[in-house]
Amino acid sequence: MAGSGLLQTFFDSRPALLRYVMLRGATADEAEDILQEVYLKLSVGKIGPVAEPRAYLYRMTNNHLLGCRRTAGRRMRREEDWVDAHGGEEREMDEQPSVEAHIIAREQLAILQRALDGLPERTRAIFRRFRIDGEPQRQIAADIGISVSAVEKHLTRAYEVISAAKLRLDEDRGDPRHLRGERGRHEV
Amino acid sequence: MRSEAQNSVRARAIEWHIRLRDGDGATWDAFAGWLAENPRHAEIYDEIERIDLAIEPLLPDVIFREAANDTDMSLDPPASRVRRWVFAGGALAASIAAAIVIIPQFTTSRYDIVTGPGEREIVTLDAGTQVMLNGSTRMTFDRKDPRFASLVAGEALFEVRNDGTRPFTLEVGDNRIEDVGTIFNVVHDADEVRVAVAEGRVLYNPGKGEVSLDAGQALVDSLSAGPVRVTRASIGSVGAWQKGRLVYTGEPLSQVATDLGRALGVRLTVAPSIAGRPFSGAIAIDGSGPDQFRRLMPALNVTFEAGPNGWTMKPAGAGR
Repeated sequence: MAGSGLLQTFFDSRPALLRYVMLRGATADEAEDILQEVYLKLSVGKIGPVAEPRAYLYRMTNNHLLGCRRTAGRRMRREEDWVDAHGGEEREMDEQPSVEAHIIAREQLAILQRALDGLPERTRAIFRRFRIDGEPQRQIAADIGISVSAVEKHLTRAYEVISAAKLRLDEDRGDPRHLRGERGRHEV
Repeated sequence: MRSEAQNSVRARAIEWHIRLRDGDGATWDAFAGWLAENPRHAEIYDEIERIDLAIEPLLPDVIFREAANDTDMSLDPPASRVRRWVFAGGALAASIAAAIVIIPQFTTSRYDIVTGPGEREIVTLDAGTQVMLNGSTRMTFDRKDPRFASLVAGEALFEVRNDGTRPFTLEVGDNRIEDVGTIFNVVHDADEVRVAVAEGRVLYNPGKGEVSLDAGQALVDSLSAGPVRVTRASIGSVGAWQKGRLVYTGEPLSQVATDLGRALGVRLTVAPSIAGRPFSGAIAIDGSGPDQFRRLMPALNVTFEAGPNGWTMKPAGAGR
């Protein structure tokens, strides 16, 4: 019952979801594929009652979009690796953390740690509750006695600091062009 | 250089990213509208989203230094490691995350660990000895003696390293349990002590009407009346609460209610008319908290009613 209600919402929201995926940089074909995956998942999966069906479907679609980007990136990297290795064994670089990957992860952690340490204590605590504990903003706001928009300001500050921290992004080695659209490489 | 306009797009992208997490359908529609305004918006948003994904694997290792009111970590007793440990379900976790308190007793080397309703905690005493505290439990440990513990009230599952020269001693009120290397579960409620052994052997009250329990055996010691009763325990069911399962073979509903209350983190009492009714079966705690009561009603053949002092378990069909 709950599942079929969600499916109905899916049919109603399909044009909006399709538009959303394309606005995120997918081609029309890719967008159709992603929605097909979402549909399949909805029609076989046992999904309990959902409080915000439309938001749920957007989120699900977004996850599939990210999943597609990841696979596309991985496939591309594997092909590059395969070429690099002059036709040797195909190596699954992603799944095998090398010493180099380990060192990079430690550097990344240090960068993130420094960025967060630089924040005011309350901002840091709010970020932790939101991002790690997964508490809704409403709950955090009610608990510490400030408004939701004040919580949002703290979170915005935290994300600004993190995004300015020059973290190395996972997919930097090979961006699948169309799923991503043109990334801001011309930005100086 | 980034222009002012670019910075404000960035700030907007961050706001959207934060809002979307708990946002409703209208929030997502509005977000799509913002993306449509300018192709740059999607690019910048991509970047924010990727940064947030990139920090995901790093976050567990980030140290959040926080205010002094977060005493649970700063008072962490040096002799043992205390690790937060909650249900995979997660639903309970958010509501009870701050329930654990460690009360140091400065005059002695002893310290207490207390879990709130629904909270779980693992205490590591030495390399091979762990105590898993169920919800609503209070225990005393000794910083200088890793072979000692006291179950003041509640329930705990013990995994004890074998050391023939120094048995592990557990105090349960006025009773003592000695053991040389086993897995066993102890419940200390208001009026009784229950012990069940999954592996090895323990001695209950050694030298004082001593009872020896082997793997697959359990005992019930009613503090009010009667001698100690020894029963059989299914080994798989010993400490099953720790995996979110409660297993019964003919135990009274009063015990089921106590266990359920502890597992779900609520006050649950049972109507006297059915308190002694035996129940056999397994209950899987699904992490939905009191919501689970509705699903348990047919299995237990009871109804649950919420009242000002918590929940009451009543005979099916009662109260309507």
